[in-house]
Amino acid sequence: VIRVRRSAVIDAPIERVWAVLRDFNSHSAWHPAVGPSAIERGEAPDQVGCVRDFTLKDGHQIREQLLALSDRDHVSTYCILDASLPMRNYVATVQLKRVTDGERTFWRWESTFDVPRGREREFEQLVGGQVYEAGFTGLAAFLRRDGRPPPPLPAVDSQGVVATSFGGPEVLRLQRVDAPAPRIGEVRLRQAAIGVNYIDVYIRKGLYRALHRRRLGLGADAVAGGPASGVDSAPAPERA
Amino acid sequence: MIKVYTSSVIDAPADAVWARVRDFNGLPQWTPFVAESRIEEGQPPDRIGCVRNFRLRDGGVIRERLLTLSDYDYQCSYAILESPMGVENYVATLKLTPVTEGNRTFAEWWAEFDCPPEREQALAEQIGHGVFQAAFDSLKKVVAGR
Repeated sequence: VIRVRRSAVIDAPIERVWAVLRDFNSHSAWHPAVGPSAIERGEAPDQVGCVRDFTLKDGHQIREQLLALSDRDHVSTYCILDASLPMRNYVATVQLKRVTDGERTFWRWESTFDVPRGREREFEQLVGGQVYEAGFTGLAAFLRRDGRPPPPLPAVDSQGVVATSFGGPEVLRLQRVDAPAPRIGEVRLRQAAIGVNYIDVYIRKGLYRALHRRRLGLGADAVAGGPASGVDSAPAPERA
Repeated sequence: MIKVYTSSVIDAPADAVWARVRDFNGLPQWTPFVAESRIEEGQPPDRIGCVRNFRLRDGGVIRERLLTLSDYDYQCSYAILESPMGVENYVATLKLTPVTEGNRTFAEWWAEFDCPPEREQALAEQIGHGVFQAAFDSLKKVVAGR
């Protein structure tokens, strides 16, 4: 078993650091090694048990599951489910502590895991350096350029065709649906049109276990509407 | 029961800071407010249960019993047996954690105790600022001059 321990002091109050770190899907916004990331099955990024599926900028793919989250202790624990790296039994913990002497934050990031014999040192350096230490620097820079987190966009009224259960067209209802404010690293899209495809039929037939998506139309023609949460400035409206 | 929590960053490796603070009889060497200290009954200062008896520069005498000491976790806790502060059930813990970035030390010091409600705020201020933070400030200077 390898144990990796790294820690740093971030020059920001614990509330600001935790607001970012408690969001299990925020890493693509601040970690320099992390590419695109998404929470599976549309779950909230603070739902214990949720899974983030992401790609590292070097091309490796990783799925990680949130095992524990405590707003009281400022602790987040997660594990790797699958990775294209030869790491097994990886469990990591992030913990923050308030530095009362100056408005700073102590950040501890630790893990234990197994790798093939002979590659221990390589992975200790990889995880400790390119993941944890790079993360400390990345988040500090993110907080500096971010200034204050942008005010959250309000939720908007929206409507959609919703499947209320498995079945034919009779289970479809035009309903008001919730369009919540974007989170860190997300943008809001204004949908111009959707495509209805075979997959929508398969879902209603029960072939795919995806009725939680419920809304008709997986493909869309859309325009980026509002500023993303956690980026420097609003992107110019762009066709997506 | 109220809790007071103070934390700071000391610009020295945890081993070096711990070497200073693990000595239960060493308060005169690194705090600004302790004039002299002795361990009662000739016990070694790292024996669990030993009692330190020290005199403050303002004349007050405090007796504290060592409850836990961990060289593995850089942590110790102690209880007040007698003091002029008017607190009851006072237990404090001092803990160090290495900061790998910059090879520094994250130092935490907290206490839980009972006192009359009208004295809570003043005592929390006195202990958190006047004792813990003042000792940390002094400790920073002591380890910088090592």
